Parts: sequence; structure tokens; C-alpha cells
Amino acid sequence: MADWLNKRRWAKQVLIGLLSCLIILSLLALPRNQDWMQGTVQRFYQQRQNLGAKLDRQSRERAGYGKAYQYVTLIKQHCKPTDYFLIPPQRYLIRKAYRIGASDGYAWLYPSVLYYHLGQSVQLLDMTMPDTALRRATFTFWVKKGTLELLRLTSANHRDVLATFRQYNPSFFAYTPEQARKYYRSTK
Amino acid sequence: MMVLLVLLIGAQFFLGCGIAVRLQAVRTTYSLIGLSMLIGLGVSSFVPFIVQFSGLPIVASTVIGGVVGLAILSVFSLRSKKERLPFWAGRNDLAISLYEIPFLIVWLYLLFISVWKCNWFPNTTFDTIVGPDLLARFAVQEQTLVSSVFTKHLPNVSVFSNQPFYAPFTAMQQIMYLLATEQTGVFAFGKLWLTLLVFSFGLFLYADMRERIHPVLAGTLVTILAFAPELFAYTFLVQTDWANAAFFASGVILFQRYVETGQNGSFWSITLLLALACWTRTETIFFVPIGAMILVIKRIRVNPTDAIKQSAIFMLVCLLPVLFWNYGFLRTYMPLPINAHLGAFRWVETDYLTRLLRIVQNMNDRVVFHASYWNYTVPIFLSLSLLNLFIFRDKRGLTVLVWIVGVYVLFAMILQHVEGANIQYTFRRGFFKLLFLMCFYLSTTSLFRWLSIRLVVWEKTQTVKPAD
Repeated sequence: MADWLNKRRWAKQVLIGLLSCLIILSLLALPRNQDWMQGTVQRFYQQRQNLGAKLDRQSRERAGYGKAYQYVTLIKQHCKPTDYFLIPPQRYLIRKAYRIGASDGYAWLYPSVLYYHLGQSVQLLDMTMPDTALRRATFTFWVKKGTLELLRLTSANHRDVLATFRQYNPSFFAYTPEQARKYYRSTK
Repeated sequence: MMVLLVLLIGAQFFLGCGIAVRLQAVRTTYSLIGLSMLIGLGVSSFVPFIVQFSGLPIVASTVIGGVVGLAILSVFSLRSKKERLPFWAGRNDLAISLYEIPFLIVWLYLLFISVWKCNWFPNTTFDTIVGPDLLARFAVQEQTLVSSVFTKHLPNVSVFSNQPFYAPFTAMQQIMYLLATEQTGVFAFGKLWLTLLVFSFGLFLYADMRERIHPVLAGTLVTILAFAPELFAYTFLVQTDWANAAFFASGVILFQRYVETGQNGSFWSITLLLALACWTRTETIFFVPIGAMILVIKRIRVNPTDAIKQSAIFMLVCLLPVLFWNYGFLRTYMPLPINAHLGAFRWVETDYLTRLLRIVQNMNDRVVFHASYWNYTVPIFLSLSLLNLFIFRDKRGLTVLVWIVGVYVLFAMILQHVEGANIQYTFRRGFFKLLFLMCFYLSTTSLFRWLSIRLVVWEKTQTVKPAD
């Protein structure tokens, strides 16, 4: 009798288990859930397959930070802690080299993002600082023939660079690629 | 590295366990495991401040040592209260039924990839790298909470918003886990705490609903929640909102128990969890009066003085972390950068109602009914809630519904009056709280209770074996 009851309890558990499966399958069959599971979640698993084996910090930072990684690495390679990096106005880069920064809207120019990546490896200068401070600038980013380059500031180019940067509002900030796109389109 | 990490996680768990058992917050082992980790994560986030105020450096030995010390005290205080532990009392409630396994598989499938994404990638979201992780990174590097971010960087830049000033809990967890991992290895970016928080809250929520309704129904509700893409995204993107929602919802879940049973320990657990919710996001303090009001309404007829005293204590305790961070630490211990403008209040003098209604409409259009954020969670909640009200017309679970409506209305007011609060970010991520509560509300309704009883009765009925 006990054995029979045990079997019956198991049978009921299996039946309710089938109900669980049915509920899950019904939820998965709903179009949005299906799209999400087969799209986004599958893409994440794909990403893991491609990246999962790499465990070194550098590969992970390169993949995570995107283009910002290239630019901050460039600054770190060329600047010393005693150098002053002049943060160019975001509007300047958006207008002069939109295609290069379309995917991130140059949001990595945000002073705290640069500080997060660079720390004290270089001194950051903001365009709103007084002229006496800006005179100390030794590096900046400059657009030349549609490409972005790290420019060493010298007495020969210092004045021209500042004059160009001053044409753009230094307090403007596009936090998202959409905001950058909106600004870029408004200038066309 | 692994030793420190295991030590930290263990210490956080036992710290929370001691508090949860002492307060007699929960009855089952799974609820206790989930809640212990949640409370441990929350309470341990004050340790870096204790270390800082003691004049010690923010290093692994002081911070993790501090958490371990508190955990030992917490467990030691339990020596005469062992019988409060569910498994100590001889309750074997760890068994899982066969029919729960399909749900577990789905959740593990989603959780696995969330854990990988969370821990493989560095912090990339803008709000995090200019906010809590910026503070954490430099606090660890410079061994002080008053790092060059506050003293050198922020006072010298013209553009910065309030991210460095609104997420102390996230920043402190990042600090502790960066110290524990020594910034090397698989968990180098210090984000493991988020995974632990998601797991603990998920376990607590499921365990609590499993006590109320049949596990199949509880599993269905958690699965509906798990299929909300935006909620899922923040299980691997470090921010403060998932933690805020988890503490807030846990507080409301225990609040519901307190309303139902009146057990005194629950009151202090609720107060602690909602205070932790306020610690994770300051704006949560605006939602605390909902609980205070319910407490007064529930107890005013029995004992008016007690009712008012209890709700006053509830609000004051929740206010403490807000005052501590915003005024104690940020404005007194460490003066704010002169160019910081935080949370200004906005007066609306004209077209008050029209503006408010426009905000509500935008909240609905851009967040609540934005299907790609939540898939089917909101429509399922609304249709099942209406069905429940239509069929049963009773007050079961009404308190949770009051919380949901109250938070929604207060969010509209916050958006109307607080400078910087917006629908796209503040409300979208604040909506996580409401999603958890929607799911929990359904588990308290008569509809789910009725379905649950049917299932349990059918499952337990022992038909007599027919004669051969």
C-alpha cells in the first residue's frame, strides 16, 4: 500500500512537473519573450563563446571600454604625470570627426571618465579653466584630415589650437550617442 | 585572493544571518539564507566608514577584518538563540519538489550568463564609472574615502553631475570587493557583490512566495519577472537601482508579514531593510511615509500612542542613513566641492495639475507600457489583478497594492519637484521596485490563493487503492 501511495505521489509530482514545463514553454512561446531569448540572451552566450577564454585584464578592458580604451592608452603611452592634457570641447570632435565617434558620441571625453581611466598619470585641463592654467597644456586631441591624433602642444601651435577650441561651448555635453547625433545634425 | 574573497562573502553572510535570526525575520531556511546575505551586504557597507573615521587606511586588512569582526560578534550574539534557526528547530524545509526543477533550470540558464557578463567585463556604464566605481577605484588606490576625486578632480572640472554623490552602498561594495580580489583574477573588477545580491534576493522572493502559494505558481511569477529584459540587464550592469529595489521589496514583503501576523521582530527587520533601501538611493525616503501611514491606520484603533510612536521610529530610522551620507559624510566630514549642485527642489507655480498629468502620461508611455523593457510583466500583472478584483472583490493583499500605487504617485511628484530626476533614467530604473512588488502582490491575492489551494489539495489527496 505504502509503495502504491509512493508511486502515486511520484506520478502527481511528474504531472505537476509537466504543468511547470507547459507554463515555461507557454511563456517562452510569447513573441517578445521568444525574440529576447533567441536574440539578446543567445547573443550573450555567443559573446561568452568568443571572449570567455580570455581572462587577462587587458583583453577584458579593451572589449569593455571600446574606443575609449584606444584613446586613453594613447594618452598613457605618450604623457607623463607632469604633462597637462587639454580636454578638447566635445562639440569640436563631434563636428570635425563625427564618423569616428558616432558609436559613443565621444562620451569618454567627459572629465570624470578620463579621470577614471587616467587618474594621476597625466594632469587634466578643462577648457573652462583660466588662461594661465591653459597655457600649461602640453597635449590634446586634434582632428587632422578626418582622423583623431594626439597633438603635442608647442609655442608654435598653442595659440591656434586654443583659438579653434574657443569657438565651441566648453560646457556642452552629449552624454549619449543620440544626443551627439542630434547636435551633429543640427549643425548640418 | 580567493581566501580574502571567501572570507568577505562568508563574513557578510554570517553578519546578516546573526541579525536576521535575532530579529526573527523569517521562518524558512531558504528565506533565511537569502535575507542573511542581503542584510549582510547592506550592513557591511558601513564598515569602510568605521575604518575611515577610526583614522585607519582603507586596505584589505582593516576593511575585511572589520566585516569579519562584526560577523563574529553577530554570530556570537546568537549562542542562546540557536532554536530560532529553522534547521536547528528540526524543521527540514530544504527539500525541492520535482516540479520546481524546470523553473530552476530556466533561472540558472539566465543567471549563468548574467554572472559571466557581470564579472568578465569591467564597469562600462557611464553612471557607474563617473560615480560609485570612480569613488571606489580611487579610495582603494589612495587608501582613503576622501580621495583625490573629491579633493582634486571634481573641484577643478566644470562638467559633472550628481553620480559621485548618490550611491554610497554601491561604492562601498565595490571598495570591499576590489580589496578582496586585489583587482586580479576572474573577479578583478569587484562586481561579484551584484551577482550575490541578485541571487540572494531571488532566493528570498521565491522562498517567501513559495510559503504563500504553491511552488508552481511562485515559480511562474518569478519566471515572468526573470523575462523582463531591462531588469535582467541590471543584474550584470553595476548600478544602485537593483540593490535599492531588492532592499525595498524585501522590506515590503516583510511588512506584509508584519501586517498579517503582528510579530514584533518583523517590525525591526522591515525598518532595517527600508533604511538600507534609503541608503542605496536617497529618494527612497519619500516612499517611507507610505509604510508609516499603513502602520498608523492598522494600529490606531488598538493603541493610538503605540501606533504613532511606531511609525515615528520607523521613519526616523529610515532617515538616519540619508542624513548620515548627505549631511554627516558629504557636507560635514568631507566638504562638498564648491561647484556641486545636488538635488535642488523645484517649485511649480503654474499649471500644476496639467504638468503633473503630463508627467504621468510620459511615465506610462515611456516606461510602464514600454513593452521592450518589461516584455509581458506589466500586462500580466494588470490583467491578473483586475481578474482577482473582479472575481473575489476582497481586501487580501491590499497593503501591497497601496505600496504600489503610493510609490507610483510619489514618483510622479518627485519628477515634478526634484531637479535632475527624469523619466528616462530615474523612473525607468526606479520602476524595478514596482516590478518586484507587482509580482509579490499577485502571490498575496485571493486568486492565487484559490489556485494554490486547488493544486495543493489535488497533490496531497491520497486516493485509496482499489481492490485487486
